[in-house]
Amino acid sequence: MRDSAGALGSAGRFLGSAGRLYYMQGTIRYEEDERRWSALMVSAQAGDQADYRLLLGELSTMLEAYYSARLGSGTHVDDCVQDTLLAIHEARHTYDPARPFRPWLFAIARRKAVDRIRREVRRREATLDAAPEVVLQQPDRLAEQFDSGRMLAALAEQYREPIVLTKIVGLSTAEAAATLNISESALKVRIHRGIRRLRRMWDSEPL
Amino acid sequence: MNRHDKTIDALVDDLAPVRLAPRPEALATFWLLGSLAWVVGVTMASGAPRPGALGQMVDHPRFLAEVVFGLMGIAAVMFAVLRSASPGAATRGLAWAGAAALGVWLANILAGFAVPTLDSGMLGKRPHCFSETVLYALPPFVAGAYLLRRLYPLRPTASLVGAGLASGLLPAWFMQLACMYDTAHILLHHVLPGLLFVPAMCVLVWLIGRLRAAI
Repeated sequence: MRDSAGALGSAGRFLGSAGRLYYMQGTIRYEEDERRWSALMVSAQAGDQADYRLLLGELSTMLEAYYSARLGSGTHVDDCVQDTLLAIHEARHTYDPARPFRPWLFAIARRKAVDRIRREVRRREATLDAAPEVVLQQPDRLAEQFDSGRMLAALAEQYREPIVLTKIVGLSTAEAAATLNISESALKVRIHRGIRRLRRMWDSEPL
Repeated sequence: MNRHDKTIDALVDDLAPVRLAPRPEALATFWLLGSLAWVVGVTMASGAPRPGALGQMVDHPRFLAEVVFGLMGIAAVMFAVLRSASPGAATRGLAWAGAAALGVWLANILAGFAVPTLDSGMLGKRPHCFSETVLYALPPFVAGAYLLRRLYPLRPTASLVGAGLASGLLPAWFMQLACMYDTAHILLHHVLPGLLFVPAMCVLVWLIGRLRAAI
């Protein structure tokens, strides 16, 4: 009995120290990335193309993972990464080396994703209003991809469904409203609230 | 080579050294001091301020508080606006502080209907205070919009509306010292034209959006 308790105790201690080690490695990696990205950006601000290429390469990989985890896979993730890379380029003069890099980067990344979703919803509305015969291929698969994003999955169904139906499946607001059996204005309100909630979720995330 | 690689290539080719943007706090201080100097200067140049206005601040602590809260609110809103145009800079607390200070300022003016802060009177009345408020707010607004452009506003509409609010309320605030003191007059001829900058900015942003979409 005492032996098994001892064994459990040492296993616990081992797991505890492994966890601490893992946590410490994570922290060290986090700080290393922070320092490296900050230094690369400072160098890019001075016009160093090689460092800038390295920075954008690392950031695009990281951003792809970041958006995929929150929005699911699909072309919208690519679009968000593209928008963010462009925004980083345009906003590079606003990065203050005395401040941490991540809050600067993720403020841009979050905003670009919210803008992209909002713009996409509007664009789909306009396109489908102008050409109602447009039918998107494989809507179920697209919706599934989008649903796999944990941030959207965390949205209440009443907000998630309107966003997915208009942004991914490609229905017009009238069609989506009919599908959900609600009025068009109620649908627009839900899309608006859904996007606002997404933004809040993003804002409350630790960096 | 995927889509991101192509974008990265294009961005790297386009890279040029940049001058760091000034700190938003420095820009906000610059805007506040410059705009205050403009508003005070042009208002005084176009007509004498209400006689005894400064003495009223000493004699009536509530009036002093009204003046102080008004200026604090305007300053905090502009600091929040410019910080919001610098990605990653925290703005929520400042924006709330600004809104709270402006709320106290307006609430105190409104409370004047029940318990006047100062005795109402025509002393110091300016014949064109409504249009003066609008006109004097324009240069601070243009300056604010120019400073915003030097940064990177992530929410341009909100930033422009905030800049419009701060710019519109600055001459409205100074009219409390420069023009006659009467609650209804203050609300209708000073605060209202200042607040009109908010819907005006919304219309401006909407027009810019339509214009961009058309191009």
